[in-house]
Amino acid sequence: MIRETKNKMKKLYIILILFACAFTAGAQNKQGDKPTQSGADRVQALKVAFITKALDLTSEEAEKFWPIYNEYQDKRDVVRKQLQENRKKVKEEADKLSADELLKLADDEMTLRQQDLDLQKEMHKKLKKVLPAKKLAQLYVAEEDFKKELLQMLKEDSKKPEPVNPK
Amino acid sequence: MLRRSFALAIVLSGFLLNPLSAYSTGADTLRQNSKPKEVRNYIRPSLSISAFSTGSRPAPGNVLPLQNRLGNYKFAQTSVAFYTPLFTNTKFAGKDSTDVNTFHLLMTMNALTDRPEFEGLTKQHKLYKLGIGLRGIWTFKSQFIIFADVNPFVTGDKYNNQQTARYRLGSTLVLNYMVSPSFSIRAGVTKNFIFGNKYFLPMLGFRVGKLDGPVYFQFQFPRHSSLTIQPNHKFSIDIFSKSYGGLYNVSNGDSIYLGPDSVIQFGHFGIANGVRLDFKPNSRVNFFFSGGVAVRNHYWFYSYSFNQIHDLRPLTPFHKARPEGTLFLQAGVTFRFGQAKRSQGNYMMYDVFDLNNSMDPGDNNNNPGNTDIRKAAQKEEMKKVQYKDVEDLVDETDLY
Repeated sequence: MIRETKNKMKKLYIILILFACAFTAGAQNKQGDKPTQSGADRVQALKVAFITKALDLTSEEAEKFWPIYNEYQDKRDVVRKQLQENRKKVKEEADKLSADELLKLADDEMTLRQQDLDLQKEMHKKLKKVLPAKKLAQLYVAEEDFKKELLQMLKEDSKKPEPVNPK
Repeated sequence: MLRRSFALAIVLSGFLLNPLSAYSTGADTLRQNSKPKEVRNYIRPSLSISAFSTGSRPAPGNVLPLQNRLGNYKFAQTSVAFYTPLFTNTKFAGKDSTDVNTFHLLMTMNALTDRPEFEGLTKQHKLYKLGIGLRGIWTFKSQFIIFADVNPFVTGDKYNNQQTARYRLGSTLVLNYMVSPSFSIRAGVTKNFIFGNKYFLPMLGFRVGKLDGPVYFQFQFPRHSSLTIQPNHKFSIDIFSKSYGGLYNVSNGDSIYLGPDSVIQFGHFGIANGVRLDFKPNSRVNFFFSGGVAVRNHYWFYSYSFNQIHDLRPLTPFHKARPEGTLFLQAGVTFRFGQAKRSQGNYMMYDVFDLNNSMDPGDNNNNPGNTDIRKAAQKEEMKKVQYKDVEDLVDETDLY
């Protein structure tokens, strides 16, 4: 009888642990000021829906387009994250950094911007082979329109970006 | 003791879910600023835990004295499955180098306990299965996937101190052709034990409907057929029919077999028809509950020595029974860790996820759910976007 109760308690603990794990995982997404995994997923999903509709991609075009587009967005993410980190460093530690370090960060800004542009050009070259001219041209317009729509939505929700405080 | 292990488990779960957060925080001076790295894997490590149970019912068999001795039959299973990518390669290939070919090497692990409960036996058998395997997935020409899985495992019975464990090997080879995002076909071969015996089986299947769409239907022999309805990205409902079963080594310590074997084999099979509800609170977790009716149930006992002497394959049983139909319940949870490369809109990668989830580690036909495929977004979802989620997208020029 005692053993049976112990077994039941054991099962109950396992269930509790699972729920704790699930909610810890969920809570981790909400911590900090970084984009949440779910939030980033949602924005990506919205972008995919927006571009698919704007470009009116056929099945064949979509099969080729999305893997290439995603691959380059992943590569650009790395560059943009590095840019953000460098800018944050300048913003928060400008007074502590030496002139050489600051100059290096300023040079890196240019290098990283160039890297981002190189990646865009590479992607453009590949996309030229899978999309007709009209859709390729529309892609860049759609990307801008998507950003504008998101910004408009944020404005409407009164969740404006935090004011920039230059130091 | 139990309380201590509970507390330890909670702490360990924190490490498991986010090892870095356990010893480093944003304000911590020990935290190092490492250079951002490109995410390499499309498939995230995944841990699935599930429990399955049927009701108790009579099981008429062909050996009456044994049928009377064994009595009513019930079956319960607990399964833990884990996989993690070991290596992922992505490269541009094809005539115009516009095909994004990928290769994924995964390690799979599974631990399973099966408890066939015979009311007539005073001491019940506790069967187990432990496996560790490798899985390779190739995608090429924007439409084709080759899936290969090798899963060596041991099965045994924790009945007494007797050595019952035996090594076995399960394997699967499948070619998936995505005709269009709304239609794909699969063909291959599988050596598995789902039917409660040793079989080489063909694998044939098709899917109609987009995997990120509101509805899709799949028929995948010999595993399952299902109609999936996704009202939104947090919930999905499956109306399914799937096979369940296995082949295990059992101690003959209670003389189920009257011959000289100290270890015999037990196989069981059934078809679970039911409804499954998946709840995905975020992209890392997925709970599921399912219930329905288990029909066409069978179990068999095989003698090792008899089948070995006569080199029989499939195995011939010394006792077979057909338990009546019964209700079943299954519940589970799947955790996915870390980050993955972008795959949204990439329907071939969705097929990779679906294939990888259909063949769970250990091939026990416990599908962890397609959490890694997000339902296509609806425009109204834009209202829930927060600034921090779009910060990366905003340039200074957007504000002019």
